Amino acid sequence: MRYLLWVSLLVVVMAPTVYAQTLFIDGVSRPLTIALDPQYPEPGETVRLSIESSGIDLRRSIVVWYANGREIARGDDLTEATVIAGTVGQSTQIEVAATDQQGITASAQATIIPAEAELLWETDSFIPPLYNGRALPGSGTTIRFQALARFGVFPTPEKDLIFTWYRNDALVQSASGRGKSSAVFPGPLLFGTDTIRVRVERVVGEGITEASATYTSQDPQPLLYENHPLFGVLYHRALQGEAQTIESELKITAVPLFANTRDVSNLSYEWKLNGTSIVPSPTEPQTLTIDAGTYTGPVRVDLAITSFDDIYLHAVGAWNILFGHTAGSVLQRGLFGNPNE
Amino acid sequence: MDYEKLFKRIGVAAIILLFFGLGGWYLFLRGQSSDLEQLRNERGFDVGIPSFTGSRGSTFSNIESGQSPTGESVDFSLTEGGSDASSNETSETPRPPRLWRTSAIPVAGAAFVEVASSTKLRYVERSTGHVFDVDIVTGKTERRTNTLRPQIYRSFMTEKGVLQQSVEQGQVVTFAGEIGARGDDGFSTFNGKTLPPNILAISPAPDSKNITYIVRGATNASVVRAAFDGSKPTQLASVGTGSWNLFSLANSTVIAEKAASGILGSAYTIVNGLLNPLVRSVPGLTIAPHPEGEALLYSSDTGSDVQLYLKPSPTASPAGLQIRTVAEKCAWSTGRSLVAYCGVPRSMPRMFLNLWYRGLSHTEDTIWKVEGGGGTATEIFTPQPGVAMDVERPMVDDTGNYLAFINGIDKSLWVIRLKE
Repeated sequence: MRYLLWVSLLVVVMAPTVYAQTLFIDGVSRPLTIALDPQYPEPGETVRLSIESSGIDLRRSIVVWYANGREIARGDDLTEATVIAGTVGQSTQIEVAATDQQGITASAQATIIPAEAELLWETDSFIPPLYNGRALPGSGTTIRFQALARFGVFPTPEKDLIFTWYRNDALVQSASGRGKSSAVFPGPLLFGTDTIRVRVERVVGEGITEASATYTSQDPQPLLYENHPLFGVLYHRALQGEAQTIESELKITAVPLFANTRDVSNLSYEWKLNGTSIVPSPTEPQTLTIDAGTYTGPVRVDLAITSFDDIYLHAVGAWNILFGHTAGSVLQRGLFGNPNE
Repeated sequence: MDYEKLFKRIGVAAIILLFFGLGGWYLFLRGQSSDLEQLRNERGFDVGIPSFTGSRGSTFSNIESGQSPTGESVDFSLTEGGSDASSNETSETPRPPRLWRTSAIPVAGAAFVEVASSTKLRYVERSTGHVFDVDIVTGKTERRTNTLRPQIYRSFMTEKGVLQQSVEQGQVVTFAGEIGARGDDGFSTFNGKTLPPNILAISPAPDSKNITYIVRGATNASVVRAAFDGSKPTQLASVGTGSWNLFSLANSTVIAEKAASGILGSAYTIVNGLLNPLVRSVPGLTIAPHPEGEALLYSSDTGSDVQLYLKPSPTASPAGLQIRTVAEKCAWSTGRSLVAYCGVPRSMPRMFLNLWYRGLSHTEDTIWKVEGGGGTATEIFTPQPGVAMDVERPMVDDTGNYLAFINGIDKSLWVIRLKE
């Protein structure tokens, strides 16, 4: 019965969505390791399967792959195969068996249970009201994250999920834990790039998935818009470089895009007209009215925006406005580079 | 020497020369006027836009020369019956040219509505908040309301209701008004309520019965459905972030993360309080969901490239279309057909969405028809040189004959007849 003496060792490489199991039997079976790429497949994703073995020469072996009991590939030295992951929560059983020329066999199993997740985020940097785009993180801003994960047709309550948060691959233990689907992190340092990753696994049952977000800190950009007496701030037409107007008076509003503030009037605005400092309105320092009177000619506008609360904020810009330009009015001619001109 | 006779001859000669000179000057001016008239006719300025001068007052008349995108002066002095007068002469109803700038001054929003069983293009004047109806067949424009609500930045409207968003002390204020019965002065009443503060996105239901909006709470943002006046609010879903675009459709509510070039975004339908993904993790995602069906146009902006995709159904694989534009420049035809119209820029800079949203870049678009069944796109309209259209918030009327959009360059309102 010595030939029937089996010494078994079960090695389970456990990942909640992927189970790679290696079995070997002394004298008959040898260890075989199966790997999946990506490790946590999403629904419909092509999964690359590969095997390695230290106990059997795969180069001299016939390898047979099965998915849910159906043969999907067979061949000599066939150490790789691919399979399409199913829908969310749909299990795919992978089996692979290798037999060498001496009849020594090795086999392994894996289970693919696709899950999916997204990482939603928003930052508290400043954007103008009704801005159509997404606010991007500036220096000193904070970013709020929300992880959404799906493991099957029916939703898994957040309290039954374990969220593990990583910032630039470093585990953030304080943010991680059961039911902790949201997290708040500081934005990246000036000109820095951060990657936030969250790993979500079910407390009970199988399934694991990941999502990540990468973003770069934005240097707050001062934008200048005409503040029209009838239409309000013309956010659709930023002043760029040279501008012309036949008006003798022009009201302009600066927007410190992505600055670390919710109230732009709390920032410090240093306006200069033709090199001369102008004291802005204390209640609305971001807006300046230029009364050219009878003057016609160019006016150079310099602006520096700083903050007492954020030493990194130093947004500067310069524009030239040509008053008394007779080619057309601000609106008719497209003061700020109307391509219809 | 008879000086008297000499002076007389010189005088007669001078008078004759003067007459010749004046005649030549007249002919020269007439030629120039004819050229200008031809140019204006080609651009659609021959349409009988009613006068808004006098007691009715309007920004139309307050801004002396209008704001032609070509920089030339636009004649708004036509009488209210101008169109009708010409129709009497020709025994035909005059119609606007194929591309028609309906409002030269900035508008806050527009929508096709059914009024007395005819299709009107309704819009809100940005400066006054007044509501106008345009007969898109005849081009006749009528001001409906007389309630001044200045500086409306964004507006949405249906047959009965108008949502107006303005900015007060840096905060968005949303007003939901209803267009009532006409008074003796010819204007309709416009009464309503101010909705809760901190509304981040809002969308009226196509049937005018309710509105859906996103409002920020202490920790989360809520997607709320309420009656048009904001009463009876019901939470549809709670989401962890508040930076969303919102689409209230006939059969569903869709939210999409606000876009930035190269930043991954996702879009979801709200089903039983949960977010069901429509499109996941697409860089610079913008979407145009079909108003009645399940089809979706979406686009990506990686920062270096823009691509438009069509997804006929939620389970179908997306197909890349041959045109390069963002889904925000596309509008679906109503009904179950998979036909959409898109403004397609002649060129786009890198990081297009970021520059576009900030008003740092505008496009010059041509109009393309997308037929979802075959996944094809065909150019159907090219504006003449010198006319630039940066298509924003496009919409197609129920008959599928007209496409209206706001020109992002100056927020003017334009209409294109799709079928000639």
